[in-house]
Amino acid sequence: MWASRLQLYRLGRMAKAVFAQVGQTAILIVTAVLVGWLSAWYMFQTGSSLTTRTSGPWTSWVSAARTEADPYTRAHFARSGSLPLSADISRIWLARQDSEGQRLHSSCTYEIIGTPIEADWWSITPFDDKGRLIANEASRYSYTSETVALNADGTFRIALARDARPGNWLPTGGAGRLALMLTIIDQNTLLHDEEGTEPTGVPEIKRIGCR
Amino acid sequence: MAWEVWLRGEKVRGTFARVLPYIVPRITAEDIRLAALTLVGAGIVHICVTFAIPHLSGNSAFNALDQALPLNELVVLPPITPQSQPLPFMSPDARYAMCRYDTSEGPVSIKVTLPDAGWLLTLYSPQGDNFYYVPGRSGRRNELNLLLVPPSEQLAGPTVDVDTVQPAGAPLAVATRRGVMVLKAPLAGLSYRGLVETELLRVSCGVRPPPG
Repeated sequence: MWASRLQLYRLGRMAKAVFAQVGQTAILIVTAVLVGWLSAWYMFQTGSSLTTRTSGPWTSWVSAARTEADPYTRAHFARSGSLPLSADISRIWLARQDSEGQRLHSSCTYEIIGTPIEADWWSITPFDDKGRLIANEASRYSYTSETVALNADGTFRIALARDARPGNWLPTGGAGRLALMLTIIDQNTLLHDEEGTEPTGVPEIKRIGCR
Repeated sequence: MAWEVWLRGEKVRGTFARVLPYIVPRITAEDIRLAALTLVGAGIVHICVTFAIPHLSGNSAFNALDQALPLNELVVLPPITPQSQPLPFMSPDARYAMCRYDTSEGPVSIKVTLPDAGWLLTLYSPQGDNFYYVPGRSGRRNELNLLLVPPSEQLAGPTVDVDTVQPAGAPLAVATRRGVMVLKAPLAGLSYRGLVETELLRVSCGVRPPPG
């Protein structure tokens, strides 16, 4: 009887050890998967200094649509579903925050303040968070280098607001979170130097007020 | 600098190195091994996820266009509006003509005119690489005659080069299997819409008929 009790005790100790080892392995695997997945998610969702350039609230993926694009850039655009122009001839900047770092939202009024951008063509377009154009009765969706009204000093100001504004105005009513896209097409000159110099000419996004 | 740590009612005083074992648990070699294994595992998962996303994501632009566009046929898209937006973040300041092509059934001929600066002809691979592009030039009307051929075929004639001046009548060969041609025509204003639409309708894209 004592022998069987001893055997049972030893069996119990072995089982406990096995469960502890399995548990430890499971924790290790779950942790590795979580850390690996979350770090990959961050890299291709948000980007990093390896893959993006930032200027204030604006971010641009420097290898967009290039044949030699890095895996993070490829994953980013594969998930987003968009079809960007090659970064060799264009630069696409996206802003989801204003110049103070606050999230862009249709409940607020903003002013985009900029100087004329030296390029073959540029445009500014507000989208909702998922990249959809914002429906509005005025059928206004973007301003370009050809259509924006300039001030006497050569600068431009574009109001982003739910209600109509005089001058350049883009409606944002009902869209929720916003994403502002600045597209610049210029085969010869891009806004920034590859070696990390700060881009120039990127507009400021100033929040005027919120409801 | 002396540190003081209370441990089970007893005060331990000394340098930081002396009190550190009382503050943090002892780290054993086994712990370091487990941490290293976890990091290696995380690295493997990170790499696998990053490379797998473009292949597993059914949300890519090419997948959307693959379902929406006919094969080897030009489609002039209607003006981009909230009700007519085939892809996210598609700018409404231009009109688009697209042709989804596949050269497995023969070379595909594309004839395009780029009348001014801002016009842009681009070819995309299924992976989203913009591997070929020709921008329009200010004050110069650029008539393009491209022949998309399977990569395995060798054609005598000019090869792809963005800056090549194309000999009159001779097509520029571009080696590609599948992809999408996108022609972007800038809209300078309402009064230019008719002109842009006319130019877009002149574009041709289709399988070149066999000679003879």
